[in-house]
Amino acid sequence: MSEISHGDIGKGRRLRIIVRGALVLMTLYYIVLAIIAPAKKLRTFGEGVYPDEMIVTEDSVVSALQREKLFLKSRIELAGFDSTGLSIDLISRTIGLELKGVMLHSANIERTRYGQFLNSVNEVNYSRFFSGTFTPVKQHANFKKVPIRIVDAPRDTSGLLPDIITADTSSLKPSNVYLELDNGIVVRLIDNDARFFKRFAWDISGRVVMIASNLYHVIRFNIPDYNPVIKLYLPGREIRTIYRAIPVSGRIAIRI
Amino acid sequence: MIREIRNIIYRCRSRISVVLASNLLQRVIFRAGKPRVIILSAGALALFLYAVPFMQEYAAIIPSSPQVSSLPGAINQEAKQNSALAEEVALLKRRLDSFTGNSPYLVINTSENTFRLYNRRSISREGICSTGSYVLLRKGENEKWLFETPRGLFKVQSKTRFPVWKKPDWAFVEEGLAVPPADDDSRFEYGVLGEYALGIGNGYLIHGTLYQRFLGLPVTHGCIRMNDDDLETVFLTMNIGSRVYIY
Repeated sequence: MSEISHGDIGKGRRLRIIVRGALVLMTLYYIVLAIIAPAKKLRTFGEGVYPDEMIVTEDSVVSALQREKLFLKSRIELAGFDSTGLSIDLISRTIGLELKGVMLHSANIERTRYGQFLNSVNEVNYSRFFSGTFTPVKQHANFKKVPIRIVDAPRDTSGLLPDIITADTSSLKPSNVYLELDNGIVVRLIDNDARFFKRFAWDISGRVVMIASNLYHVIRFNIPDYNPVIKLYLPGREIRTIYRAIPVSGRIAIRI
Repeated sequence: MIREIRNIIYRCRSRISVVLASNLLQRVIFRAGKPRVIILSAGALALFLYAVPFMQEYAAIIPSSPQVSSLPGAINQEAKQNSALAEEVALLKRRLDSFTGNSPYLVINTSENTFRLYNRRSISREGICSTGSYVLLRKGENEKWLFETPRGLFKVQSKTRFPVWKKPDWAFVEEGLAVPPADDDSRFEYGVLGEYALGIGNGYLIHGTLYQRFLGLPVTHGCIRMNDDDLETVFLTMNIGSRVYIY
């Protein structure tokens, strides 16, 4: 049996202190960079691109009209595309599918949530973020966008077809969608009919992905990307209808 | 017997997993022996998952965003006349509104298998229909058909009374029959499409059905099926060139 000397104990303790210190420093470094990220986003987004006309005012009526004007312009732009687009209006709390300027489907947003970042953005930055239409650069959902069933002939077709066919839309599974737009805003459609735990699990999964992405940048000594999040709570069947109706590179107009 | 055992296991599975998870948690807590470690881990998780995003929002560093007056193109004045702005908004609204028009149009929701018929901007009829089943039928390695209702804006290209269905190749493949020549008599079926049909291009039709019980379900090969009364109304309301929006 070998004896453990006081020197070994000291070494072990020192190593532990160093590791803990490094972890604390890394955490602080992460926090600092994460906090700097929104400022970087504001600074860099739409750099060199300025709206034709800006109205500087404290008047909430003028501000609302200004935002409505931007939204209407975005919807007119949406009408110029050949595919179905999505309009999200957080003022009237409606989300709609539009094609060539015609409202095809509209649903009430039961609950919305977006952070202080978007809430307190000034008129210039608002117009930078929300004028025009946006297309998703990343998107995923916990249900199929195209619910294809493969049937092989004659193996699967020789028997009698089942009399009971269940519509995919009658599914009771929670439906959540993640859309990251090219303006950096993340739109999360959350199934308001789902149980709290399932909504919570979806929320946590999104946060974990965000942390992983932040860590990836922090390890490379870069400021991480900051994506303001808009959470929209809707019935699951509306989410399925909307997600399936908009093409992969569909256009989206937003007013907050 | 095996099925019963399987059912019992299935019923107990969730309970077993809860018990196992709690046992594991207990072991971790007791083996770690240091609640401090657990508290620290939970704290770190809470910090990364919630506190940092919260700080990002509230340190939103709005003051560092560019000042309006310093930007080119910005009109730094008290406020433009409300009325002028309101007029501009009204003009844009009118422009957007003009896209809808007064002529009749049909909107099909393939996700919920419903339709709405609009006339003079208001809903004149709505109900259930059937759309594509999203079945991908494969025969061998080379031949395949996807039974999907196309989405987008279409126009009524033809209106037919007492339509006859000319069965395409997939109809024979699906039934496990040999595919006959193009104009073979066996390709023509009478009375299966209902009394009316409206063509929207590429062989897609809005027609009736013998299988009324499947209305509201995604069961078709890409066409849109309606019940007899709805189909008649749609047929009489829509003209050649009328718009059909499918989403």
